[in-house]
Amino acid sequence: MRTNVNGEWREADIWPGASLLTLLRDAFGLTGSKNACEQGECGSCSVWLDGELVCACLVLAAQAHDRQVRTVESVADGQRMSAVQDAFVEAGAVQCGFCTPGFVVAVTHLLAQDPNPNEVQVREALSGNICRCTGYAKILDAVTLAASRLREDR
Amino acid sequence: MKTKTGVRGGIGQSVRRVDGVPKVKGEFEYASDLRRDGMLWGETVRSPHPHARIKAIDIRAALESPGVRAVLLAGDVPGKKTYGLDAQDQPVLAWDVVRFAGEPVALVAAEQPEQAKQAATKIVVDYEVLSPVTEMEAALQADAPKLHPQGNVVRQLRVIHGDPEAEAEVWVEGTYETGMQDQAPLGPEAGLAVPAEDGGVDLYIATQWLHADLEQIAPCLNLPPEKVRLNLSGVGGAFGAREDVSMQIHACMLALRTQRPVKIAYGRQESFYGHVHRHPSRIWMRHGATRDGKLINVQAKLLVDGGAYTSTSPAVIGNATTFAAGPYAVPNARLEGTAVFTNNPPCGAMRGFGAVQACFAYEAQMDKLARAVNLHPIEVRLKNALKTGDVLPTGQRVTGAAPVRDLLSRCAALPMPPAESPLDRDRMLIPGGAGNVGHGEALTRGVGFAAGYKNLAYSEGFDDSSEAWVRLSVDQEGPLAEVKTAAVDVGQGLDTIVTQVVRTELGVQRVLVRQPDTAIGSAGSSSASRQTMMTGGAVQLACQAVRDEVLRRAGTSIIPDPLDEYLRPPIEATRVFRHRRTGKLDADGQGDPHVSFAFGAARAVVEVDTELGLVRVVQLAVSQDVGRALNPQSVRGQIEGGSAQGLGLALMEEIELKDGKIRNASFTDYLLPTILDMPPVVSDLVEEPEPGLPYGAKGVGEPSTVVVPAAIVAALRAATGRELPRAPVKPDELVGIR
Amino acid sequence: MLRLPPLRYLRPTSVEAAAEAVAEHPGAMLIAGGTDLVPNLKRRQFDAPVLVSLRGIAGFDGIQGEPGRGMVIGAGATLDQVATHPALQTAYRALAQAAGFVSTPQIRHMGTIGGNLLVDPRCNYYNQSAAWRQAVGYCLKRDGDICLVARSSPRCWAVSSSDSAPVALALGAELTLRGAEGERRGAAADLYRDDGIVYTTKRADDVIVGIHLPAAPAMTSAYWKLRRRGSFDFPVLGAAVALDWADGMVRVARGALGAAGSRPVEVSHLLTPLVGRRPDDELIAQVAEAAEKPARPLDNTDFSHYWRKRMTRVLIERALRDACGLDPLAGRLTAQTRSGQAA
Repeated sequence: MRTNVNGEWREADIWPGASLLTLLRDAFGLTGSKNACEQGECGSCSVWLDGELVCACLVLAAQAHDRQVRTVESVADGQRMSAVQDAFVEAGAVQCGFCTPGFVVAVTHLLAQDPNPNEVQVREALSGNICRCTGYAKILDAVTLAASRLREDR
Repeated sequence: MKTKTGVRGGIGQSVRRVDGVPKVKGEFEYASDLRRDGMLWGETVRSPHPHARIKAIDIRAALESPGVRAVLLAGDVPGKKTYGLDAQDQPVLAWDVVRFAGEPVALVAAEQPEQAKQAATKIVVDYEVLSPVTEMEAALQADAPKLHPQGNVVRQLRVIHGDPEAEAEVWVEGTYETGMQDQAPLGPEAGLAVPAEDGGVDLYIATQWLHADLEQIAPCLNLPPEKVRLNLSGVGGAFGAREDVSMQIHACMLALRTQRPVKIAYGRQESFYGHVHRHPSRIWMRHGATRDGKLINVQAKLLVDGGAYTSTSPAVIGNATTFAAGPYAVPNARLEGTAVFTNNPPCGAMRGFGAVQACFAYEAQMDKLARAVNLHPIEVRLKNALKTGDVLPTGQRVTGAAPVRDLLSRCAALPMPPAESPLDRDRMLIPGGAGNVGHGEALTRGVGFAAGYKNLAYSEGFDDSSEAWVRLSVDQEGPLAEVKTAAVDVGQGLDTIVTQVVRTELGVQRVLVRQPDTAIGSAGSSSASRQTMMTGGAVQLACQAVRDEVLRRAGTSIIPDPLDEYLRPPIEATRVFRHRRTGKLDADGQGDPHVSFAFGAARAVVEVDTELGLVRVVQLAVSQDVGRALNPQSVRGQIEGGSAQGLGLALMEEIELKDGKIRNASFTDYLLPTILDMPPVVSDLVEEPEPGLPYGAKGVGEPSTVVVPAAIVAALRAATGRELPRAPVKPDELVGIR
Repeated sequence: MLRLPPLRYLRPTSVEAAAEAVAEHPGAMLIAGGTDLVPNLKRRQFDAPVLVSLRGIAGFDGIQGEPGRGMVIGAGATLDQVATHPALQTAYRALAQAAGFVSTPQIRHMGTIGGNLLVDPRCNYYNQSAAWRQAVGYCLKRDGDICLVARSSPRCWAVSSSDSAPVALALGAELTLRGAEGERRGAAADLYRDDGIVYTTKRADDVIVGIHLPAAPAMTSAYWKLRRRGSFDFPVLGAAVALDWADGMVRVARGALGAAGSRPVEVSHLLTPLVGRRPDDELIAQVAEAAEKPARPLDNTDFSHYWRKRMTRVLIERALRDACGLDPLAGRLTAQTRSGQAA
């Protein structure tokens, strides 16, 4: 099967029961998306499938055939972090960091759809991402910071 | 201590995490990301029974299974058959008897993970199922089956203070319970063991204490310590789950047998089985006071369920018992604590370590006392608050900072959330709001307070230390400081603190923190809120030694600027930091058991949908005694995260056991608070420097977890008038069904 | 690690081809978003050697029509599409609400309305990994002989856990199914059977193609979902009501309960006292109390079943008040047992 991952068509001869997450991590070596629960119950494997925010652990690799997948590895522009990534670091929203790639993807997705979400909208949009370290407080700060920076840049 | 002019990012500043960039880019390598060419995958076979005798194990079909390179049983353990922290009573692989559902019985290594799983299912274990002991009280009965040779008591202690029979005018009594909470770090257990040419093994592992792991692994592998080398890989959270060995010995055994690298990575379900949990507790307390609310006598009987093996139960019950009177001046007490063995999953370290359970009970008691003597909950606490110079029930005098009154007053004065009309607000913000439940008149607000405290570092005479190596050199960019310790950054931000210390002590901007491993001496555990103190202290000492050498070379008494010419050859120093010695408790629980204390006070504002019994926490406010905030942003981050785990225990987190088997080993059914469940946390830092600790800084990770569950349940009691003696609280109890 | 079992994945481009593929391969299952199927497969709750994908079928996800004449939702429309569709949010509000309450944003972007209607009934003893079930004992639904919740019962009591199913009943929706034996259209209620294992009347090769919502120029509806957290969790109870109005009075009243049995539980016949009336506090409370009777929660989900039984009437009352434009929380009923409270 073949999938376009972060702009590049890649092929893999995979076992049909593989999830997209397994495909990304094991076949393509893209270990940025994490495997914390494997049942879609934590969001740490959040990626884009044809532009939609999904849990890679719930997508069969076969369902990603001929489609576009984008992962956390595509968010930075080479060495340069995105505004969302930089805001996460600056706001202290990264502790152990295991949930962070999933949040980076979910927040990037949110701000691309809605550049000025209120707190309730942010919480709703991130309701599929679990963090065990931060209590979410600084993650919310990071979203506010990133949103204001992105609006300035516009 | 001022940083040299021009050097940014020393102590006291909210320095960005030094590992932040790789983490946001997805480039930070956690143990589950480890890979090695030619590596095999390990799989663990676990007992489905909480109590059984192993009659036979047939591995023939497994050995013939495709891709299998090794199948190991207890008889294949090269050296010592057991490991453990406070006692080495936990089998590497079970033989003869299994004592908990989930206990490892066999190991498989195969070329592909799926092959290892398949082979594991082909191992046939003939069990004679025995009746499990699953209730604490049952375990204490004289006729209970003995789960260990010494019986079913892991530890029993008592603290007798003053006159335990002292009379009082007012008495309040209660029995309280807390459930089995799980640390649930997002990063599941994983590690990679690589056999070495010298017959030893290199282990890449996410853990909390490299050297404690090493001390347990080497004897089991029958190898000298120098042939077992541990290297820290990225850690996806810990909160106590990584204090005990999980797959370390297993991976090494498979690697040594196959002479190939072996990776073991648990999924979420196995992770629940593979680590210890927070001790469930049942605590009876009786507080006697004057009619004015002054405490006279505290009586307590604490019982905690240690599960199948010792782990750190002795230390947990020691903590819970010595803290059972709370952060209050109490002239008389009898505090008795017991930790028992059962066939439930083993319990051990989790953030708060016994102090959480005790606080839940004693703070409920203080509220009962407040009602009995007609005082506001804050008033009755202020009246009894501990202060520096007071003597604790163990006879230990509090010599460090103890700003309990200050914390209580400040916490009570923190801004309350606005009392907005529920009809105006977004549906998301109501109890069960995202499910469209509850908004309007059926909502009742409640406010609750709690104060508590926790020891910092290890106790009862534990000889704790941390070693640090610092090197100062110069390259084309200028002076470069390198620092290495074996200390684990579990996500709390230790590597960043260490960087800040070096900058402050040496006046050098560029600091490189080397990867921790066992080539350097022990840094002790990343637990007990001790690393800033211990490893910060060791790094400080090493830096001071380096600095002394710079001054010697320069012949000055202040650090020269520029430094460069004095750094050839580079200067290195290795130093060890120890805290003051503590002592064991005598038979009456008297002694000097704790190094230092950190205090906290919390206020919870909750809204209860009284018709349905659903809860929304509106705000958590925590005032915490931090000594000195070396990185204020990280300190607040710890308070916020600790509060979240406290909220989990109060409202939704519990490992549900049925006859010793975990019913909810997944995130579907073990409920972690989502961003919709967590309220804003107002954190208030009280900085009264602690004498004897580096920079006067106290550890900050645990106090919020200690006090928040009690505060939330106090608020629920205020809102509903219900007794609510147990955490987590269920809706049934809030509407009065139970 | 929870890995999927070995399987084949087929990608037909038409509903007919999909139905044929299922008919040809015994044990084959249809998969659209897969957000319910995939975790269940990882826990080995089904044997599905072949999965037949519905994602390659063109036009499977359209939402067409308008409230005055009725609407058709393609079964492949994602839950997010249903939740955010302007016409659905107003005229068929309960359905948009139900779709929007499912799990998390990530799941709603993949999961489909057809899939949600067909969510596999759940139980604490069933929705566990293979290893857990082997340890505890297999149940009637999968690999075992008895129901572990109701041990002397000859049937399975797994709980209907779909948010959209009770709403489909309450809205009077009809479903078009197309399978190897042709196409048919029928009431959504007829899709479900009162059994935790064989919980639908459709054949394996029947594909839900469309959900037909009747013309609803004057309909109000509400779906209230009960769960522990703010996201992720399946419904512990769902109350769906729909009221057609004429001259300020209720002309038709329909309702159904989710997570109150193995199928969505019809309560429309217990709402008839509302017809021809302008519902007030008293009437709504009476009707809600009566309407809870068919709910039969067992001890196989989160929360105690005593509590779930007691709060059923409260949730129905709130849904009814919501659909009547009254403040949902100002009702008469409560689950409380404190003496003096209406109970």
